[in-house]
Amino acid sequence: MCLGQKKIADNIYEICFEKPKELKLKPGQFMMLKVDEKQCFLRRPFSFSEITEESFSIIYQVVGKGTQAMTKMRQGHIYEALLPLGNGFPIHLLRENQSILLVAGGLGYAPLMPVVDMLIEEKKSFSLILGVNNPKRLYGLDKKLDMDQVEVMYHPQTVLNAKLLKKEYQLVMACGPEGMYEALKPVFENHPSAYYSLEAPMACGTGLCSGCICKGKKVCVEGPVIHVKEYYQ
Amino acid sequence: MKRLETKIGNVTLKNPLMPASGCFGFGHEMMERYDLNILGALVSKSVTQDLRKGNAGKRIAECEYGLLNSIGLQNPGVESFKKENKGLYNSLKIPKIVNVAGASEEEYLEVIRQLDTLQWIDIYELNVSCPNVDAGGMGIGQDKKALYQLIMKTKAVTNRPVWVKLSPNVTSIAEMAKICEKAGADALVVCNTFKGLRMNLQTGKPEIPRAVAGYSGPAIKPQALAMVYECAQAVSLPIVGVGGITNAEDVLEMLLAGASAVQIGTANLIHPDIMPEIIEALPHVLKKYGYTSVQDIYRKVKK
Repeated sequence: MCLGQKKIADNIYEICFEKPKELKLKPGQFMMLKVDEKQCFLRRPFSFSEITEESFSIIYQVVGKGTQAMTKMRQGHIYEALLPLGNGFPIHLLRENQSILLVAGGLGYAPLMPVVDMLIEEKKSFSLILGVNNPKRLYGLDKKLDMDQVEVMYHPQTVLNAKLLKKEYQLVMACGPEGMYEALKPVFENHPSAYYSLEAPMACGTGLCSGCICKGKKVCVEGPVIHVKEYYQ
Repeated sequence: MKRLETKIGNVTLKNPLMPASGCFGFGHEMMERYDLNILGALVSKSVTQDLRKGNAGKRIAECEYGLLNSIGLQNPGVESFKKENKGLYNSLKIPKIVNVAGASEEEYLEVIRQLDTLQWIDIYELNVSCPNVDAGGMGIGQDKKALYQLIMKTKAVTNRPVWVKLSPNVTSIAEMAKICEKAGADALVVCNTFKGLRMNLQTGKPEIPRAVAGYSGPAIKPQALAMVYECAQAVSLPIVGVGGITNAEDVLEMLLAGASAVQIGTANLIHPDIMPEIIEALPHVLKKYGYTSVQDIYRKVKK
């Protein structure tokens, strides 16, 4: 059941859904949501941007007829979804006193948010690099986070700045467009513990159709999160 | 009660439902969701001699009432297929159908030779209708001589039933059905995807790199029904109907058009439980329209 929807930035919305307590969702996992059946033949994949005991949320940008139809989803209505799908971020690798880096490109910050929430709750320190096209588009992150640990970069290419290359991170988790991963190649290509979340046009989300292949993997069941070694092979 | 039982040649299926090749992987994805033994049969994704990575770039494009796909026969190759599926296939009590594809006649025959020594396979389905590869596939299914030769030679290398999955992208599917019958095919699977194209308005280019792809889903149901009907009029071979089926009424419609069983493709991608649901609903739909069993429909259609 939809618990509500709000606009969080230009053209960007957040929807919250009720979650049965027994349903376990991991950061980086996703769902295939049935959107307005008359307009959308296929379900739409969305990673979770927030996971609590009783609810979970997604964040989306209106890009086509599916997301346009989603802006009409209302509180109290029942929607159908397949979940949880995919492997999620390797949160089992989190350790005490680890240097952790999260890299988000644009809306790619959304699937990383449950990781951020987890790190905050466990009082672990981390760095977050957010690549955005528009310096004003912080998606409300400034309200949520201590901005000292967030570095906002207005141009994706500046991700390659000297600072990032100098510091050694033990665990890296990233989510963003292909261009971001290409830009990060010199930094993380040989990193032993860096993970990227992939995106691809998806039909089923359950591994049946082989439609969402990226780097030779079925993004839906072998991903969406893969090790950098598999990404840059 | 054997209300749902049907026969394809000498093979008895406990119900007329099976997945369409390419829309159900090799069966592993759904086995945790439901017991595959409830199905009439299992149909594998296409198997070729060597590993195929499939087509590069975007492989799917949504349409109003269907889906364009350009997967390109991605599969691990026959050797890996044997290793990876032995356990699952051995554990299933239903007929196991392996869909075979190749770039040349010799590749089809070689794959079948390699599979023919295995005890856990029951039927071959020749994919002569894939629109998403440069060699073989639909090229064979559109060429009467090549189609005839391939079926003749396949029958010479195996004693197992050989089903032929036909392409709708031909001038006359009835003519192709007659060729199959003459060459000794045991059943027809009618049909594969229709050729389709989407253009991207932003880029001005096709949505899918190969441009023309395979169109499936509810949109093609009336067309697939016509293909099944025309084949049923032309030959006495059993027909497995495929195309746009999404519920038990659609199954009945396909059986009434002349099919003895059906395959469910694209609907699996949207509703993973669709086949168990249809199997559950089918007896009620038969009863509603006055049929005592699937075989009863078949007898009435033949009259």
